[in-house]
Amino acid sequence: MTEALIGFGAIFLLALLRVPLAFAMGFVGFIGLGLMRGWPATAAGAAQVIYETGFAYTLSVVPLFILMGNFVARAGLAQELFRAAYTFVGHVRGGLAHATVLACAGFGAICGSSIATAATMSKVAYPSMKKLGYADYLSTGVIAAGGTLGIMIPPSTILVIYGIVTETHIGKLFAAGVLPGLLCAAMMMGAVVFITWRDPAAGPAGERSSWRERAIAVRGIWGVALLVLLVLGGIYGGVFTATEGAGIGASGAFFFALARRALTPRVVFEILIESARTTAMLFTILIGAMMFASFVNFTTMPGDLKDWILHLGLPPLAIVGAMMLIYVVLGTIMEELSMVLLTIPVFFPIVVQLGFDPVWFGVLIVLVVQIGLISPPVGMNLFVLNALLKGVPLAQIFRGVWLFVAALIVALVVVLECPPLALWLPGFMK
Amino acid sequence: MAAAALKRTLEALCSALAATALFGIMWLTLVDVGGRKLVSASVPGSLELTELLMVLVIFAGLPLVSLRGEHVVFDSLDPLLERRVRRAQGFVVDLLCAAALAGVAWLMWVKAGQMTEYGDTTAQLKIPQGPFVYLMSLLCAVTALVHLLLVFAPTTHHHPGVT
Repeated sequence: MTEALIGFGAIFLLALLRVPLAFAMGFVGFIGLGLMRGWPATAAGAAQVIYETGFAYTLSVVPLFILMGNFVARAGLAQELFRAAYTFVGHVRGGLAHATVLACAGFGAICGSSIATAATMSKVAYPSMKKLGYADYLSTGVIAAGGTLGIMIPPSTILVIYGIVTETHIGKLFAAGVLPGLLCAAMMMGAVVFITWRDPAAGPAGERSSWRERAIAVRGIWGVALLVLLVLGGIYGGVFTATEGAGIGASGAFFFALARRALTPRVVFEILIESARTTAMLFTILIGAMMFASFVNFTTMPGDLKDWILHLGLPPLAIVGAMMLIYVVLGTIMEELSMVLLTIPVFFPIVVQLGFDPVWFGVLIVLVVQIGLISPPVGMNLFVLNALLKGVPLAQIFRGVWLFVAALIVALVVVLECPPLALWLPGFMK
Repeated sequence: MAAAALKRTLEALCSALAATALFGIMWLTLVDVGGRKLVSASVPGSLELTELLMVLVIFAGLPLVSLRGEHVVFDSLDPLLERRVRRAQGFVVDLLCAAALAGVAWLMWVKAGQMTEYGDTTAQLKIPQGPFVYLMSLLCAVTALVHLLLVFAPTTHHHPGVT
């Protein structure tokens, strides 16, 4: 127990000193395991972890989904999604903000990254909202929050990583994210309604579109809708594995962008490099976390903690609730992926022991990551918007996001209390 | 000057390697799955080829991430620190990263040697794995070198994260 606690302490110390988290985790894991287990075995073990993570067929799902998102983003699809959503909801109060949530949900069905979704939508949605006189706090709040739909609505980088680390079925995890993702979108739209009810000037209504205009706008997005249906439908229906689906998705997105004349060889190269870099960054964290996990699993901590918690005789749901509370608090200051990977070796065995479904826990994990991504002071989505929208002070962005944090916390409690919301759809999969 | 030129060369080389490998995985998966579902003929050994290409994507991508300072760091304390303190901090952190990566490069070199000695190959196509593990080691060493270069020419670019 003590060894593991020292290990966690060392990681936080190194992180504060600005050592990249991946290196901090790998370093502490290596030294810790070396001291406990002896150096030759530890060195061989570390080499094996790195080798296996490199030569892993199933892990190719990660770069392929990243690639798919990047191709579609470059094809300028976000603009059309936003336009289509606007024709339906633009005429209500806060209509552009509602359209932003819907467009984010649509974009989230192609893109597995919250930051990429928020960054893409900020270029499309913010200028429109600015033009119509929306308050900055509302427009930035809704873009930051909407961006997090990227990781709940499948595909999702976080769910893929969670699936790999805990050996949970990725297709089922994706299916599990659909309804909670829609719930999150509904909650966010509820927050928009509340904000524009309290402050009607923050989000004036736009013009009503005719059904003809709606039909034209929808026609612009059918190609991608088809791609999403093919990829996710194929994975859910058992036609493809997640990896195969990701490959089909990336290729489809490539042809889609090509058909829209969005690609030159130079642009393709840039997209490939960008995707490769994101992949390398993710894998560095993954390898670091696995090295740390093998250290933690060698200590008595997971067992001790499990015994202690089970001994308390608390209701199982209260235990998971307490974990979620820890995540929400940690998420305000920590980078979310590292937070999840650091804690999985300790939390996951307890959750399984309590008899909960790992798929449901995965969805809860995504929800706390979503909350972490938009909660000040250290919410990555907020910083991305701050970097992209030069005219908006960070204080405005912080001010607008609180209600959306609250909306997601409500969604978290709902999924916590009502597991079928996550587990109903994957129940249909073999 | 020499450091800047070296940085550019490394960036160009690794970019070409990682981009080609990733594009390769995409096409390979498309042809393999398409072939299997449509004409019941898959690419022999496509799984293994994907694995070998993944090694290139990840490990050729690594120097690029380091070059641009895109590793995920906890940087909320930055505004509180003086410029001089931050430079010193960057110096120490880059040295530490370089040392860690050099260690990994050495571990993988030893592993590659063992695998070559045992004659480890992929299951279906019998492609020797040793050279690829040597390449992993080499690219980790390159990344260590990148961090040493950064000690002399720090980067200012930062990436928000991966989620």
